[in-house]
Amino acid sequence: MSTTLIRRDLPVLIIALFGWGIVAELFVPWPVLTQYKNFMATFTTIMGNAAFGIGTFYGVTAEYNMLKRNRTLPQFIVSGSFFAMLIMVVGVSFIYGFPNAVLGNEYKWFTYNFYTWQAQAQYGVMFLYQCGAVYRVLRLRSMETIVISFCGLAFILRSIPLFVSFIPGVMELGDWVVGAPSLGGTRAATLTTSIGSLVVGLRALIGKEQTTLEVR
Amino acid sequence: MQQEAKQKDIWDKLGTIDYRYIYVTFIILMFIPILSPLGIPMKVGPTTQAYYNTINDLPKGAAILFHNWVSLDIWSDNGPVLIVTGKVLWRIPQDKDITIIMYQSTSDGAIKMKDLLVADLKPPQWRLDTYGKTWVNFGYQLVYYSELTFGATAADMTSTCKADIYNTPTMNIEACKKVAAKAPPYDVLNAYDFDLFVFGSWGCTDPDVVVRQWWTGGAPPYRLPILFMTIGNCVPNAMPYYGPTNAIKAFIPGAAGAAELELLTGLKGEGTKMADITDLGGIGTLIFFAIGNVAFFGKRFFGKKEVT
Amino acid sequence: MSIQASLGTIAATIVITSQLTMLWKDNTYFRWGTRVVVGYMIADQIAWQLYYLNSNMWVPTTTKGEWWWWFALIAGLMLYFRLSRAHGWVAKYPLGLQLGLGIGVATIGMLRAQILDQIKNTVADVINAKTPMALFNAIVAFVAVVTVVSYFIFTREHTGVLAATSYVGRAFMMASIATIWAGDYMWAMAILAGVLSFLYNNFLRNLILGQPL
Repeated sequence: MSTTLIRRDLPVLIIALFGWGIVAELFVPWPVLTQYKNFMATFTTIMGNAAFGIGTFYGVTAEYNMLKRNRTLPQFIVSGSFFAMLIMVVGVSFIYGFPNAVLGNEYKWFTYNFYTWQAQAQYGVMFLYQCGAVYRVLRLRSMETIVISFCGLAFILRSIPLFVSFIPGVMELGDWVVGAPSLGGTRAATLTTSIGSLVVGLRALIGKEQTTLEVR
Repeated sequence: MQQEAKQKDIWDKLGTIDYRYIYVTFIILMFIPILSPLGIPMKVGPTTQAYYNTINDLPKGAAILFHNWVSLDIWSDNGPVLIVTGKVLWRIPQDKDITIIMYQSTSDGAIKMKDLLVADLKPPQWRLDTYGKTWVNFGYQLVYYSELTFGATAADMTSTCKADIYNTPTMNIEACKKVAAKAPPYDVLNAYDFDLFVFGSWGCTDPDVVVRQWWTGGAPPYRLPILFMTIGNCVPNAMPYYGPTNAIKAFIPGAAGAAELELLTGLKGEGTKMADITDLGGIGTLIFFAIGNVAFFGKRFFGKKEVT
Repeated sequence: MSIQASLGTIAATIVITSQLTMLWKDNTYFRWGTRVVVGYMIADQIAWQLYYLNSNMWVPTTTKGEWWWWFALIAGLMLYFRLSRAHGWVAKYPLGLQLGLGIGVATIGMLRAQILDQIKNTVADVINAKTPMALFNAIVAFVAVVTVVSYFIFTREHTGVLAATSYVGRAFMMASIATIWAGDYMWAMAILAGVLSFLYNNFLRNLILGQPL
């Protein structure tokens, strides 16, 4: 068997074979096709679960490489904390009743106090950066910025009780911006991107789109 | 050739304020309502009214599929939406005989819902007494692990929801059997059997996915009406599917939308508090937008021209 | 407040302030807060994926005799070959399987929901409008759809009528981008409101001053 057949053609054939079964299920109400869909849903879920190590590998090696490149005390503290937290949380998930420890109080403590608040604080900082952007970028110098300023501010003010309660028409204007010009733009974007995705998808299903399977 | 040193005029200074002053200003403006709530009420918008009406206008004997949307990394915006929606569903009177089947599809949901169901989202006593008959909690299931599992769930819920939180197999639960018997095939619990899907997400491509799999999916198409819990920036993505004859009957965008629903239903909660805190943030937005544009136009029309 | 809750509030306050220091400038405290939670998130993925493997694969195969899920595990393990330069092609098989299924489930559904229905609704909204305002909105949306689609015609140079329509289409696209950005702005504002509220109520008033929440 040639290398091209094993490394390129057979995987592309697999895309087509399995994909068309799912497509058929959309049009033909045969119970066996629904059973096929359900089976493959669980099958691919288990596949994805088993492959968790790939992300772990990349995450851990990225941190290790950062430490190798920058052997300073602050970096040791930062990377050391990364590895310490990783080991601690994995340890908690094994010590307190693997595999159901993830539903326990000890695990929840980490989730509620570290993850929840760090992520929200990060998004809060992002908001403040956007405030800076409102000041610096939203200047009425071109058609684009005028439209963005008008439509953006209309929707922002529509969501704030102070303006909605005391300025008549703010809610109606904001709803109109979302429901007419923005709707048309989003609808068109959805249409055009879907047509592109449909073409690429159909090409993949008939075996013409080999770039979808590029692996180093 | 003489070059004059570039001197910053008032317009330059106004246009290049250090960002840190802006950050501090906004933090102070948002702290004021926390220290002393302003209490400015929201108005109820048409989408919130439609959201509430869709739930209230369900016929007797209807079945609701309720996705407990929990994302702890945006809980301040997501939490109020889920909690007020859950409370509205729990308020449905007993004589309407409405079955609620719920699940969580994120690990955050698995952790948080256990706490919510004994506190903020505690079901009324009659529901607790009739667990398995009028409501079912499947707990954490990989319903939306991928679009394939989502579509498989629409075709047959037992593909992902094999048993509830008490490990009772799905089709042994009385409520599931009752709901499955509403539409053929009568022994399969699928999207045909439900009257409403209350779905939540902050993925802006998720409106496309949920409409594909639960509205236009299936042969014939399921046409399951959807109420969409989301955040503000996914509203434009939901709009193409929104309308009385379209897939998404109504949506609630974040804490602001939750504040509207809390006002409409009288169920005061975190949404109202969050919306209150954003009041002065809006004023700050307008002020800095104005300063930036005053600087821009001032420089353009009145600023000193550079001499070289 | 219990010791566990107090320690939790302190830990949360520390990570929150680590993120807020970025507003001043990049610093080690900020990077520490970020990396600690990245470490948590990687560990969280490991823990949850093992939990799913247990419930989806191990329990059914060992207690219900569903031996076929071993093939799913093997296919999943084949994905690790992508880490090898010499044998990375092995991973193409399970990837192809996932890709084919994902394309199949999404692509044709797109035809109905995102293409045909959107075209239908764009025209139907104009025809079925019951009030003058609804008709106006439907016409605006119709014009927006046509002009934005014209912007994405790249097979012809944008001159003449196409230049005008694509210019108008750009304006409508900016309107969509503006509402997406504005929604993002409001969402992030609400998140910051929650963070500041936590710092004041949970940390300052409840933990430090001992006042009830």
